Amino acid sequence: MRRGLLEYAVLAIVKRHQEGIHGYGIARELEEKTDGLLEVKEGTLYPILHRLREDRLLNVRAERSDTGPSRKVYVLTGEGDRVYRELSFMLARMYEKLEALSR
Amino acid sequence: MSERNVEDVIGDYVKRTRKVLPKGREAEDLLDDLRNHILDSLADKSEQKPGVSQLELVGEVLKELGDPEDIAREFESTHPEEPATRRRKTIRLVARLVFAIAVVIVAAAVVSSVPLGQQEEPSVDFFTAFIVLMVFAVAEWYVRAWQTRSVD
Repeated sequence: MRRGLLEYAVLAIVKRHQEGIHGYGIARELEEKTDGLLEVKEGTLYPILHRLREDRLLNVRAERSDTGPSRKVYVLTGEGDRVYRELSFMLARMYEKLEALSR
Repeated sequence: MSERNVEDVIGDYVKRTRKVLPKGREAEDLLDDLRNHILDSLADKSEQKPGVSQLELVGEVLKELGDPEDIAREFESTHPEEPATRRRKTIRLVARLVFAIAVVIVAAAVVSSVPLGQQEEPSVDFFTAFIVLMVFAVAEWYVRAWQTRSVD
């Protein structure tokens, strides 16, 4: 479940950056925007990014870096956008139902 | 001196991570990502904390990155081995084992049939030669596996 949420969070971050975002940027936003709620060790984010790329939810392009060799910039694919919207809808419904339980 | 040490620390971390990741292009690609992440994070921290040594900062960066074992665990769970790959690996392992045993049998047969010097009897019987050569073969196998891991 944690990985599912993490994948969703990564898709959400990448979607917000239409021009693309690199791995370090994703890690920073994840930490800052969730206040470390998902308790992600930054290194474990990369296998997930690779998986999302293999599943064709993310695309990668190379970008020159000031600090070293060229690095990858991640952008959302059409399929990634579709999956993200589906997940958003599903999560909203789940939240709604869970809230109804507590009323 | 400190710059060199920072490079060593990063190199050691990458080496440790390579050791625990499965071999392959995907893993090398992941190591490149980690190296870039370390450099980006280090540059970022250096800007935020200009008074702190690079060595201390790189320690922080690696702590945030996590243990190589955690990365490998995540990698293995997001990249489960395909059954076909597993089958190929098993076939290759069995083939190597059969080949090694065949070589040992032939070598033991040759050694046990060659007489030593003036004696007519061979110096060693087949069974002893087979056992000794098998011990060497197993030792060689282990050393080779250990060397392959060490080189990485």
